[in-house]
Amino acid sequence: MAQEYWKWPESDRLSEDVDWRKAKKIVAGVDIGTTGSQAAVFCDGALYGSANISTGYDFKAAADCVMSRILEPAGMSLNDIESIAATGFGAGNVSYASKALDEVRCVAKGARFMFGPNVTTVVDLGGQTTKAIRLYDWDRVRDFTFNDKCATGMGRNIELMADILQIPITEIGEKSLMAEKDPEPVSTTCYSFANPETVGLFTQGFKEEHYSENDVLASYIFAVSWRILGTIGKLQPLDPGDFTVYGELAFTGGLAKNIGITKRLERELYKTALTSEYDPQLAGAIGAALLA
Amino acid sequence: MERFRSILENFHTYAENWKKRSGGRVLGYYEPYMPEEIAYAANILPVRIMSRHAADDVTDRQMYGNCYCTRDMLRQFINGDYAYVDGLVNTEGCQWLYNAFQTTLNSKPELYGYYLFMPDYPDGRTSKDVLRSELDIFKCRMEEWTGREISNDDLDRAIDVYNENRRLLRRIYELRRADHSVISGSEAMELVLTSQIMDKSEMNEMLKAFIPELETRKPLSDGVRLMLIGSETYDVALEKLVESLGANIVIDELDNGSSYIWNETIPQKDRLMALSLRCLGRPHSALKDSVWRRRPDHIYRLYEDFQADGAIIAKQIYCHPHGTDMYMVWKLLRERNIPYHTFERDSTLPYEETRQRIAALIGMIEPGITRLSGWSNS
Amino acid sequence: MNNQIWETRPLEIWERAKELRAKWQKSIDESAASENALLAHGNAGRLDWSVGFTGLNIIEDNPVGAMLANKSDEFSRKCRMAAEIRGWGRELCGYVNNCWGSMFLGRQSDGSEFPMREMSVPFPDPCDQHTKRGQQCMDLSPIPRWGSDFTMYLGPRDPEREKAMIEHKVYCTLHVINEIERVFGREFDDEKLIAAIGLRPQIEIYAREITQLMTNIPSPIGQKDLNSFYTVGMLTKVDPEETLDFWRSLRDEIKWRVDNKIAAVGTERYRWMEAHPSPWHYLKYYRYMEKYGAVCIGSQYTHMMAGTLELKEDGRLGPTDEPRLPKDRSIRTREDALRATMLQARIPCGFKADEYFRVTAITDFAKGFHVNGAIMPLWRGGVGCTLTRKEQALRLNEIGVNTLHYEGSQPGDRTDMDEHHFLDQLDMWMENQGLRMLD
Repeated sequence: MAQEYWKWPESDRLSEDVDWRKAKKIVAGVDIGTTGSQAAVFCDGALYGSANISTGYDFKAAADCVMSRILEPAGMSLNDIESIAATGFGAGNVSYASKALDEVRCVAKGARFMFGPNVTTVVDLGGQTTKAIRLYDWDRVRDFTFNDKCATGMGRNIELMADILQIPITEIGEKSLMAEKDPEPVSTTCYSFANPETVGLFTQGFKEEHYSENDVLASYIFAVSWRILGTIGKLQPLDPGDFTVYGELAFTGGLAKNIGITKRLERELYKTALTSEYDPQLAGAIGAALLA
Repeated sequence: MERFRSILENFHTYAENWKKRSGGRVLGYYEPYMPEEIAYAANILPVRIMSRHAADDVTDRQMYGNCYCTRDMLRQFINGDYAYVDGLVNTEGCQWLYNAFQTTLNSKPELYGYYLFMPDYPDGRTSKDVLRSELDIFKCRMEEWTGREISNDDLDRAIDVYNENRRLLRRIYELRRADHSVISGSEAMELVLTSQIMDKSEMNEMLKAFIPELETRKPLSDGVRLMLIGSETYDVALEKLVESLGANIVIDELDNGSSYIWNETIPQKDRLMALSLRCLGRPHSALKDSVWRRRPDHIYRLYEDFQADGAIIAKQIYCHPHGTDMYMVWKLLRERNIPYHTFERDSTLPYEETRQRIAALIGMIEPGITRLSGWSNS
Repeated sequence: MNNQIWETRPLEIWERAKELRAKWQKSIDESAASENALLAHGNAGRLDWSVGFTGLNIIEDNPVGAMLANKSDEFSRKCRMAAEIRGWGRELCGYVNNCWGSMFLGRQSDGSEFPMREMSVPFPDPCDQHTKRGQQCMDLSPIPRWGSDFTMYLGPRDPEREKAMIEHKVYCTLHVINEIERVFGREFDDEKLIAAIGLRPQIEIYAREITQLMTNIPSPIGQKDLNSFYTVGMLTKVDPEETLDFWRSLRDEIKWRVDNKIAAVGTERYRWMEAHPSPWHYLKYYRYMEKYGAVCIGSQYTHMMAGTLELKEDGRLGPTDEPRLPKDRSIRTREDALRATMLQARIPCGFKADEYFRVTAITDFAKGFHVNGAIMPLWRGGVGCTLTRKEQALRLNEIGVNTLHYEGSQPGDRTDMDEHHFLDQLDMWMENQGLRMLD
């Protein structure tokens, strides 16, 4: 089978510190996204199990599969779970969920669990949508923005480019940071403009200004980051007179694993993002479980 | 309600039948500032050119970068859907609409075409005079076109019919101010859209029968009350989506929504001046709000009067007047801590993505489980 | 195929243009620093009256945005982001977003402070975004703003219909002048206005002569030069005598070049026209086209100063109307002077004009300039930059003028300028017309 350059490694994890059979309350959250699906199971407020898989074209199958990746190794059944909440684009496909919750609240809730209670700005870098969320100090969403219509699918787009360029998706970000200095970005309008322009730079045999593969990748990843920056910038400012105050910042979603993007966003925002021990793609599922 | 809905869904058929029935002419218009009364006084049926959601495979030859609405307007003319229209009027407004008007005339040279200058500076002291002069010329052209004189009595009759229509629709809008409204946002929008393609005299009779019926309706269940701001649209897909999530759009600030019916013509001896003053005094469209801002005050007043909890700003992609007003609208809403969400619309309303956005807005206003069951009258 | 080689040499007037440009910049900087000067946002091209206020500098966002695009991709990108995050749509005019983004950032491309405007007099232009422009500085801080109108109608000229339109525009302008006097305590000098108005037809005559000289083969100058002179020629409006002298000198030099067969492109064998101003972020494409021996003779936009032209019986371009001001008119008062600038209620402008200008005039223009092809960019940002392009291309095709469309954001916005793709398009287009790059 040909190498799947676009694919992030799938994962599942069970905590050895938690015995679910002794738990008084078990809840779960399932986030069915357009590119990745995740599930999280909590026992008495502690994260017991999590799974992260590619969604594929069959959302229903992904919903069943992602939960089974926790249930089967744990020897657990759906009946053991008191409440299950679904979120994400494919939330309607989670037939075993008792409620559907909006993604923004779930991601925000999950981010506070993953990155701590001081998170004020959450940037969820998904396959289909980019979302920026601003939180009050207390447990309420203050504002949120989504990508423009013409900038959807940023996560999916990078997967596409990984396949076109035959560079593993796990390496694109790092390679782009190897450029000495970021060249001007290719089109920052949307990926359907950025991709061909990038391919054009490669076919040209690296132009004078973009003389290496890493430079071209830098130009490309910078363009994606710049577009995401626009989504973040439209959040209601913490200080009406200063658009550069972001509070504590956290990145979630698949693209949060692309260091080329997160580093550039940190540079442009003059802010270092918080780190977490958890897979950033789990935020939606964790939040859904906590709200279930 | 079903009768109105059926007319709206089959608006081409309605106008074709009206034409057969009355033997009159149908005049298509593009802009919210169109002085319909003058055409109506000459026994012409003014119909708003409305876009529909359909695949466009014909306008690429003539258009580029237009908003989908204007592309679709041209598409319908090229495809013959508007074959019953005898002439077109463009009352100066946004340039995409002007483009749709001109390009349609180029494609269909048999159509009568008229461009009516409408000041971009509606608050200027002499704006009323220049518009009155334009209305006078327009009246003459309508007389020439139809071969009949438009008397003061004709104008009075038309002004009365139009004022009555606005008054009846305002009554329906007033019902939306109630704590528990008896009419949903999609229904109210359907009614306003219907009035833009119907013979208003006929519609007034229908409304007079409908309003008492409406008033006895059981109030709708409570939910988050939203305001809709943004570019004009010709369907109610968004309103219905909002309702499916247990919320309701209780007021809009759309050019072809509330702004269309908001102010009446105040009669005076000089009928054309009365019409000029009504046009200039209507809630400003984004484009015409070009000097001192009137839109912010108007938006906020509607928001408060209709007890909205938050706002949706839906801008057509490539709608430049609304693209340039966003800064001001955001500023207004932020200063008043009003929750809102902005998004762009195009030829289709992507259901799942839009649902995510609206559900998140509702969740931000009223945390809790987003209801998945539809809006109902129970 | 014409293989003739003509002599080419740099334009001498460039030095003077640079001096004028520097002088203008200095006056803006001084205006921002001086307590006695006033800085306004406005459309310089339509504000003849402003000469009556000593110390009033009017800056339009178009040239500022164009200059930013031309000077720095990075800075203009940051400006547009500053505008975007505050709500200005990113599909809007790059000029607007560059200029006002710079205001939001508080600095200009050289790092100096952004000169804040003290009033906004954005007389609406035929483009939607011109109509709305200048609200940015007013929304940021409440400075005075006054308006007027761009009046228009379709069909043959109708002086009766124009009367009310002209009255409206004259009144609006008188109102602005009165208000500036009241609000800023400045006195308006009617004599200066009257003197400047008298010079206006002469400037138009020079501009028209330049346009007509550019129909010669070889073309004495190209689009890039013309566009710069056009901009500089507008910037100097604050000193009408100097403006007139500049246009006279430019005419003289171009005439000399025509008489002596001095070409903009020595290998000229292909002439093309554009739509609208140059892509300021990618001016080097003109040089690229020179490799094919191709010269751009301008666009209806860049020849707008010449007034409306039509093809005469001898095949040459000539004016449709007399200059906009009658020479023998006796102008005594402020109102006379303003009326004299508004003898016509409509000035076709390419964006919002009747069918003659949209269709007939463009084919006349193509024939008059003997063009072989037309490059009609499709700019997503800016409705006025895009309107009618496709229909115009269809008309040009009908008379045998090959047209090429390429897509981009806007002349002041390089976001979507895919150089590789664009140059590829140019190569294919030229080669399809039987042209090869010259050695």
